Amino acid sequence: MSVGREESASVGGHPGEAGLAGPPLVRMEGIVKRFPGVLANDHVDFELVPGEVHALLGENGAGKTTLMNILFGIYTPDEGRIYVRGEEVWIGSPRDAIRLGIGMVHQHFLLVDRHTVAENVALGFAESQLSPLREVRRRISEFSERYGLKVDPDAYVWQLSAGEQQRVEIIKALYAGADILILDEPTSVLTPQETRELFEVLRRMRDEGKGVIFITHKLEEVMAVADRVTVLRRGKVIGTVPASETDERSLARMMVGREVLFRLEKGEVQVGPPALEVRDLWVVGDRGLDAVRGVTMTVRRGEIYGIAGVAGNGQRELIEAIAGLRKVKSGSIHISGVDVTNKSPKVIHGMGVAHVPEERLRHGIVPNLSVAENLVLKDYDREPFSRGVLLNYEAIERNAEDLVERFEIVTPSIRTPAKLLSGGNIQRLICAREFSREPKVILAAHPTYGLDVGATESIRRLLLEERSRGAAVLLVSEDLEEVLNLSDRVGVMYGGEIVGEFRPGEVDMEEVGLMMAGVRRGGSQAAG
Amino acid sequence: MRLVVEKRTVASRRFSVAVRVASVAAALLTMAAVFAGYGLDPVRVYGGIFSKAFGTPVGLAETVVRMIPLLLISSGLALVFKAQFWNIGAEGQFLAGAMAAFVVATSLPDLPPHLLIPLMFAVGFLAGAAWGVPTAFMRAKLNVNEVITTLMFTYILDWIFQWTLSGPWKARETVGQLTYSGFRHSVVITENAWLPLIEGTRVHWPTLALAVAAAIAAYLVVSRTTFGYELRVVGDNPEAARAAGISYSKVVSVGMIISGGLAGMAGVGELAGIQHRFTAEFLTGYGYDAIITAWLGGMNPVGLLVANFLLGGLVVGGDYLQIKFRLPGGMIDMFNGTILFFVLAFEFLLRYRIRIRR
Ligand SMILES: Nc1ncnc2c1ncn2[C@@H]1O[C@H](COP(=O)(O)OP(=O)(O)O)[C@@H](O)[C@H]1O
Ligand SMILES: [Mg+2]
Repeated sequence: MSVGREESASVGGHPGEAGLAGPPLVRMEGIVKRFPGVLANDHVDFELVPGEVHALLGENGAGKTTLMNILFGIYTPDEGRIYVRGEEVWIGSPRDAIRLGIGMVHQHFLLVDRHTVAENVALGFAESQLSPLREVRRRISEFSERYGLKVDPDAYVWQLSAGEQQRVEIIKALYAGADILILDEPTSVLTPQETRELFEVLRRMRDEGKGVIFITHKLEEVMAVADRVTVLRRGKVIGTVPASETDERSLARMMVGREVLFRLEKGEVQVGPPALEVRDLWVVGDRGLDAVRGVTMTVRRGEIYGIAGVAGNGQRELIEAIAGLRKVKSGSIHISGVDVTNKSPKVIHGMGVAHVPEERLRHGIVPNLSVAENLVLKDYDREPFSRGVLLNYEAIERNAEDLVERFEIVTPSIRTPAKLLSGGNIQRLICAREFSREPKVILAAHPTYGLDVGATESIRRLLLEERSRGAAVLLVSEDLEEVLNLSDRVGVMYGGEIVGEFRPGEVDMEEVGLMMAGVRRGGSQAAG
Repeated sequence: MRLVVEKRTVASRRFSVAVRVASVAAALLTMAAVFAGYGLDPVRVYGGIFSKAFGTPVGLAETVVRMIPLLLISSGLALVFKAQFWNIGAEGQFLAGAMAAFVVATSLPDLPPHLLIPLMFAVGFLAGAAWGVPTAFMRAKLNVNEVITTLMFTYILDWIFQWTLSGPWKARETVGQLTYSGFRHSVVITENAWLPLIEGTRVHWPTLALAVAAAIAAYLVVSRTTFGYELRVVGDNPEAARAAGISYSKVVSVGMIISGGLAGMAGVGELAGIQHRFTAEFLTGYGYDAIITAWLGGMNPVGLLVANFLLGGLVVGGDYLQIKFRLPGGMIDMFNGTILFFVLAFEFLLRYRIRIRR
């Protein structure tokens, strides 16, 4: 057990006051983590001092989550050392991490739906007190006040918005006594306003001398809240810099390794007749409540209609209903004038509707089947891919070779199992399968979610090409930039309704944020 | 030092074969310890099993006799397992086929063999399928786990079977002036229904031919047809199957028709080729043993043939053990259980990588 040396200043600038006295809260040295075929962390050094918000910036797949999962004991490193408050430690499990005062709010929450907030917080500490719930409630209120974390301890988790659930997760960590708090892409589920509130909470924690690690791939957030930034690229640390001494452009260069085009060229396209018409659509969600409440919209050929909104406001149910994967309660859906309400997914696909699904691994591919077999998932029972009951592997493989080349899918071979491809290539595979039949309507749900900048660019370009070809594209994305950049028209969805419709540029971001939070309705000169 | 367990993304073909072989070897070693604990020399025991099952023409023929139902059943199981549908009730479907064939043979005793025998196999197929298919519906429509239902269906039919043996199907025997019904067995079916044998053995070759054909056909169906594609998609990612418009209930139902049907035909072969009547000991666990071989052999006709041949030999050797070393019959069940246990435990190695770190 060696004690951490006092030389942390070498890693980069320091934030102010609180930090300078003792050893750093966390010090990770030479962390290496390999996954089959990937070096997720390549000799990473990282340091967190008391009283700082330290941003961990990097593209998707850069290794941010992996590094923090190591600190939180979910993975063990292949090489490297970890010091907490100067002591070398072995963190074999989250339990060890919690004991060391480390708390983590994951990208996906781990709450129990059917329990109340207080129960969820108490669940983590079964061993604690005699009358735990009352005590838990009191302390939740205390944390609420101290940090500005608004939650009702008696609300059921399923009633909470994503932002509220996140606050519960933060309280859970504080409750366990964390003074090192890790937040993995916390803003991805928040509205702009909620994001600002979260930043305020983080600042208060910092001012109390806690250390906050804030994972993100969004540059403006780093500039808004971080004291220092560590940039990861392909598992390596590119550098650690004080936020006050850098700017978005140079951070982007560090993150991507080249100059980045922040905008894609979008040409003018002649808009054609309506391809997708949705009239007063009502759809029931998984909880038995109306998830889509009277949505009416029209998307024309050659047009991208973007749906902005925080996840969970009916976007998923809307897309699934159009694709035939979820029952419509009332209202109608027409494709090129033909009523397809409550038709099967097969019929709807046959009408020329392509679907790039939300969870690409769960809905989009068959992981152990080959790339070639995955490319005919929707057409395996048609000529030329089968004759009668027999598959025609020659045609299947010819098709795969053609599409792999045309859509630039990087794969060792067309016989490689699809699960071995990277996220971007899996998405290109899905696009290749869905777009190669020249669909009239494209339903694209979060098409670039979780992809790196290069893959994101290529998927966006594909969508724009489809638009030029004359497809009607319905784009759902939580990335507001993306929606505003790609769409010809935008509808904001909140509580299952389209609460505002506008053309990009007509309305400022602040206004859009308020619509996304359900505070305001507006802008509808753009109805098509 | 600690063990680190990680998901393995791909296992090479050679590695999977090696793991399977190692799993059987581990089972043999474990059982060797059990035999030693019993005061027997494991080398002599295994030597005995081996020479008995594979060393003489008579033994080899017996091994093939045991292989026939195993191969037929496991071909269907391997197919339906591809859809991740765990039919562990082949024993019941086997019995359903045999019982239906018995009804045919006793109702139409005068039908000539070239009509009667094919009819028995056809009816046996349908009966096995009929006994299996409800479990597919229950899974698809009501989301009832098939591991439970397929097993329960076996128990249900086994009780019905035991009842018929004490009642309606119990044979009356005449000795001199006396007619009595003592033992719990049925009448012997008409000789028109007896399957032809290979000279000097008990190998009923029509069923053997069916079994080999089934193993090859199952492989071709899975790898070359649209239905096989659907099976693989449903098994690997049911959600993607749904999104692609592949019906889960259709796929598992057809899978169970094939799997149950082949088990039913195996039951017909056992009745018409070997036993010729029902006794209380008609069931010897082929339906369960075939789960092991379906898993060991994978969806590959050669693999199935090898696995079933070896397990057939083990059954023969097991009988011999009981006689020669006076081992309890439960020892053979334990033997098979040990193999299945190690096969499944070693499956872990195909999915995860275990490493030792300081
Ligand atoms: N459990 C895992 N098994 C295999 N590969 C993984 C696993 N977790 C992460 N990876 C891979 O490690 C790399 C880094 O992933 P991750 O840490 O999640 O990146 P980030 O959080 O920066 O987006 C990626 O290539 C990812 O595919
Ligand atoms: Mg991540």
